[in-house]
Amino acid sequence: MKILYFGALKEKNPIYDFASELPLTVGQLRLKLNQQTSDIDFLDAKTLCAVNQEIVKDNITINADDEVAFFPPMTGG
Amino acid sequence: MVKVRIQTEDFNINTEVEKIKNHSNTIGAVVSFVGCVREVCASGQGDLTLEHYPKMTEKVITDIIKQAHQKWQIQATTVIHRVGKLATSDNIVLVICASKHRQDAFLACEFVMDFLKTNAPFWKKETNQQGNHWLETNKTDQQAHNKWHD
Repeated sequence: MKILYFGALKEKNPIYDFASELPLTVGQLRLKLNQQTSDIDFLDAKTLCAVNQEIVKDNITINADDEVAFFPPMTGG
Repeated sequence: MVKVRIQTEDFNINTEVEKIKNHSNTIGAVVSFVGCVREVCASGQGDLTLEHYPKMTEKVITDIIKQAHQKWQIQATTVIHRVGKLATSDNIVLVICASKHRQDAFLACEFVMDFLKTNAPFWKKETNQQGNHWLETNKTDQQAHNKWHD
């Protein structure tokens, strides 16, 4: 699956292409990504997840064609 | 009318106000807000870079404008938000709300702007002589957004 990252996360050498069995939940994906990068705080508690451009909670399931993005709290305006 | 633009180039406030007024001759109040870059650092040498999540940005801003149009009697809203590298005093964002009477336009403009500060997918990075620094959400902005949903 392809994963998008924005903001400061892009500077942490994130994994853009991640091999995983689907479906899985956002929470499960977070854990796996943190394990893979050997940084348990890579995606910390403040990091948000959007699936198909909508912010979701960790219990949401990701399916094969979903667009997944992780990003820090937003600072627009 | 809902107009949302995400762009690198600057906007012309007068032009956008005139365009929104032309939408309807029942518009009696036009409220506009401009956000601009505060001094990035004391020496004057520094800039602000804005990143965004294309398509999601336009989608969430359009959604919040539609919410504003349902809460108040708003006839037209324009939001233009710049991205890319900006310098001190540069324009960042323009929000214009037009209604028959002024109270609705004032409230809608503030509502949309409070949303943009914390819930629209933009991220700001300051660059100065000390290096790069990603800005973080602040409590004031979060409280301003929350007050509309209490």
